[in-house]
Amino acid sequence: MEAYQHFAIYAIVTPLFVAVLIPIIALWKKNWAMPLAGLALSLSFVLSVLLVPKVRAAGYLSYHLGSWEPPFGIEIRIDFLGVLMMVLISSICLIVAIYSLRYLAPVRPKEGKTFFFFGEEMEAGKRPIYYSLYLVLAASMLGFVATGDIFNMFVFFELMAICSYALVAIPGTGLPIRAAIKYMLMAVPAAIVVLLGIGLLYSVTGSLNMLDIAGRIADSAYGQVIVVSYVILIVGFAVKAAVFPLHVWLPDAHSKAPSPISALLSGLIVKMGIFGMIRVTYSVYGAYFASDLAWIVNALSWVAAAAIIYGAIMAIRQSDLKIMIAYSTVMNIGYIMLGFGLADVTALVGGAYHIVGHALAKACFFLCAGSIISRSGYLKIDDLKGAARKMPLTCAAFALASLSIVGIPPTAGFVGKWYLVWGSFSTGNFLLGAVVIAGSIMAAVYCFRVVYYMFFLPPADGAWQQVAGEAPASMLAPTWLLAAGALALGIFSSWIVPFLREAAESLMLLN
Amino acid sequence: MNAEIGCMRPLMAILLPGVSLLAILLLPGKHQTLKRAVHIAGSLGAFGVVLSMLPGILDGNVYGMELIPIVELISIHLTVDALGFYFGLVLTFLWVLATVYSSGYIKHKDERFYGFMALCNSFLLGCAFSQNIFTYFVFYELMTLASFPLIIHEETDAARRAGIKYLKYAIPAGAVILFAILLHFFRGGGDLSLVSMGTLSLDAASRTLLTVVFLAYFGGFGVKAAIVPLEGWVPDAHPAAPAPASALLSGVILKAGAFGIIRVVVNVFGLDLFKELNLWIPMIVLASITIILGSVRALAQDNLKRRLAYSSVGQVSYILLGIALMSPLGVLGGIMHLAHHALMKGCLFFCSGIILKKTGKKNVSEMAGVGYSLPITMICFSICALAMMGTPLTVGFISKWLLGSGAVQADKPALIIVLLISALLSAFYYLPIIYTAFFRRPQEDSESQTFQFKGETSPAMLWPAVVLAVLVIVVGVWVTVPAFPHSLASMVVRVLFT
Amino acid sequence: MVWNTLADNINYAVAMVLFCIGFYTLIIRSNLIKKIIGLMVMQVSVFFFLVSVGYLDAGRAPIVVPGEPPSAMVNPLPQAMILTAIVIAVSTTALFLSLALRFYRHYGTLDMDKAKEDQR
Repeated sequence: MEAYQHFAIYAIVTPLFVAVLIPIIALWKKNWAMPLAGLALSLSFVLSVLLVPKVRAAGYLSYHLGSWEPPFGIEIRIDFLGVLMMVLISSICLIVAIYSLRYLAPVRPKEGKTFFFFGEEMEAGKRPIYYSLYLVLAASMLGFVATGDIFNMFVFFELMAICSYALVAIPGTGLPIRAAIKYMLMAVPAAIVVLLGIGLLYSVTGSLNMLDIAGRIADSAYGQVIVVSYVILIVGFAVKAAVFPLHVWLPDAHSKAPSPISALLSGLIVKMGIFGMIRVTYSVYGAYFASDLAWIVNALSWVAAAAIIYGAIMAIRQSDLKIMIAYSTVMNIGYIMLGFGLADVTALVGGAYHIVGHALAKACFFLCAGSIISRSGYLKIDDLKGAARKMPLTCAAFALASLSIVGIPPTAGFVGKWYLVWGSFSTGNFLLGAVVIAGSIMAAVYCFRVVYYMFFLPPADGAWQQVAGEAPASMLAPTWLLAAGALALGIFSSWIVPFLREAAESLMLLN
Repeated sequence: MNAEIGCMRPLMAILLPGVSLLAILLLPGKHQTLKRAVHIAGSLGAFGVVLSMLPGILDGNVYGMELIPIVELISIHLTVDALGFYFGLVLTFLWVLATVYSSGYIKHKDERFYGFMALCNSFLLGCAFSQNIFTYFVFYELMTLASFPLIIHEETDAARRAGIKYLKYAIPAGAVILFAILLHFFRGGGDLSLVSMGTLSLDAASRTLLTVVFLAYFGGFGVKAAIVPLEGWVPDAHPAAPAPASALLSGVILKAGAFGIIRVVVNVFGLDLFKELNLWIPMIVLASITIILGSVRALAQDNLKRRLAYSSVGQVSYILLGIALMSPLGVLGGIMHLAHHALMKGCLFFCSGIILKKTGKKNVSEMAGVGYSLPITMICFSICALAMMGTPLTVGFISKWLLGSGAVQADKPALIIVLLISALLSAFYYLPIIYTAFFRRPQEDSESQTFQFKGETSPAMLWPAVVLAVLVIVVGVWVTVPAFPHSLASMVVRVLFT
Repeated sequence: MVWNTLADNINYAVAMVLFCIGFYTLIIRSNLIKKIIGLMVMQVSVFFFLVSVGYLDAGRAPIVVPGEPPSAMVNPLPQAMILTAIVIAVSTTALFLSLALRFYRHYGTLDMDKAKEDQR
């Protein structure tokens, strides 16, 4: 066994280990939390990046935990989509962790006001807990995309969920707690339902290893049970992914959570729900996919279209910046679901590309919103008039990211939508293709309104005068990194798309 | 068509204004003069690079380079053929003058204006030099967004409303174009390139589909080209924008829409298919309606820039009319009018800006006696106004003459009536301006009745107008000099009709 | 016939009834604590279902003894799974209860609907 085969498990375990370490070290050194978290995440990032060529060469990477052979032992099985998600997760977690440093512990500016996130007296005590939870969250997401065992997947899924509830509620004030409870009231039953689906699946296949299940499903006699378990699993993941009728928790949780956590929620955690659907559909139910499950997946594409329209309309109607961004996430989840629901290689490429592109741009949105809130305290879109006079760089990053959300050509958002339309046209769904384009126009309405307010309107009387100015460099740099990433992924898409196409083909080939 | 010669120059021309933008951003705030110089140098550099390709283009070469494949099978690809070069030359030339002019005109937040102007220059050059319709679309959309800050630069309520209206028209239009491209790409054969004379054919797609594709392209680009039901943003945006921006809007940005339609007709459909599908009928009808209606509505305007804007609405449709005639002379006239109108309308807007800056007068009715206080400006204005009416020895006459002969050649002599009505109407709305400026006494007698040549306005604003007015005559007299519109347009026509 | 089927699958039926009771409580009750109780009933129903899947009449503990056939052993995997799931459920419930406590301290009520009007 060569060294690189251990990389995956190191990438997952290191953040977990450091997460345990942080509260202990914090007894003496409170300020070490962030550097430690950053170190752990950068190690995960490096290891994930190193895995990319290996996974590409072999098609997948299989690692047997504790050397127990699958299907009995737990298998880590990373295919190309998985390793891509690992790179995405570790990079965004790292970037957002850097951003958190000054968001949680702002340096008091010489003039103007500043907004302490936890309240000045509490923050020092809470920060280590924040980073500890943050690392567990990152580790569980990494594990979720890497694992090849369906029960292990559930465990990571739950771990991720618990950390995200706690992180939404971490400010400890009324609204975040309310939002977290609302989130839990939907997500905990969803997790129970996922467990039920796994149980049903186990009861008819007798295996938990996804590859093994896929083989056993093919000649299983319990067709109806398998279809029911599939529906149950999809509904469970759909709640987590905030697919349209089940999205109710999302706007509250996204807007009331601390902004870095909103960025993670929108950029990564909801994507995990979608990833779970894709993984379950193609890697587990591959054999049933074409025949008995096709109508379910097909129905999902129409649900996705409804999500696009609904999310866009709601986003246009909002007056609160973060709630608007949250509804925009509902809409973009619709796009990704569409790529998955069309059951076409090209559309799946589009959906996967949109996962990445949207993660970057939307995380950038929330970080910009966070910078604005922590510098000025303004939450309403109307208050953003003239923001560019005080915070030009933050506003410019927002403008760049909104190009990607709208889907203006050389940005990542465009590439994803292009493949989605291609997929819907080539499967004959012209109406769905038209919905994609119409969604872009509506996205232009809500994104460019904010950009317009920021750059071209004068501030209201007295507003923005107290504001000290641009956010500190450690908040600006992550914001710009994400915005530039969204742009670069649009320009250099031709380097990534062939890999994605291969990954999508290998997923669909399991049928 | 000759093979493409690999060449960095198209890319260089596009990047040069971008470099000047960077310099404008990075230079500290106090170096205002240096910034203006850098801004002018950027546009001058782009013009120089474009001009350096002239001998090769006249020899029939095609320059180009593939930049980056943006999605599978489609790449951002730059190519300079005769038609693209022609548009690129016109726009960079007008841009040089507009940058000079704006350095005298813009006094408030000039960095933002210069920056977006340079950006627009780059993107429009990208449009001119695009090898496929996708590249065209990318640059076109970026140009739409980058021109928005130019329109609302004054930051008055009217400017803001006009800017929003502009986006309300332009963004759905972009989506319609994208829809056309997607249909074209996925259902129409998959070749988006603009190098051959027609890539679509009835073998690959049905008549209905091709008609839908054309109408979507036509409608999408028609918003910028101000075809009648879609022209609503034009008369608002022009008066609201600062004068150099209005000159560029009318002179080039409206043409980007018309140029897109030319590309679609000539390079995507090809004249044969265009004729076969009877697509020329809606185009001629809409262009004629636009020509008449634009002129009629111009009559009713008192605001000078609004009047000029409606005039532009009508004039841009001359280009479309020429193309839709599908006769060699008509196409030649249409393509040449693209440059001719840019010269004339650029000058008219420059002059209107000088009048506004110098006297504060926006409306035609207030301009009594302006000809005395601003004689050079008003002479330039008069030359161009006369040219717009089609007076011989000016570029306006050449366009109208060619379009008229083209109509005869295409066996549609009835269209000459449209041209004549339009000429007559433009006489009705231009002559009163000249008359008011020179022959009406100002209401307050304090203004003198003698010409005051000294201290008219800053040379940075005056000279661009003078250069354009001189060119309106020079190009109208010495028509066939190389590098003048005729030489390049006739190259295009030669390729089309052999 | 129906009764025979039901009797054979009594474990499934009970799990389903429990699940429905839990889900009903979760949706109908507005008191947070009752909602949490509903959730726990739901969780338990799924655990019950999973454990019963591995049940074997007169089964033995899954320890390999030479001479005994492995088919007589109870399947240990569901039990291991449920053990893990219980740990997760406990931590989820603990977090939920602590949030409910904070909610109560802040709003002075456990009723989500009543707290709706009270912003912040």
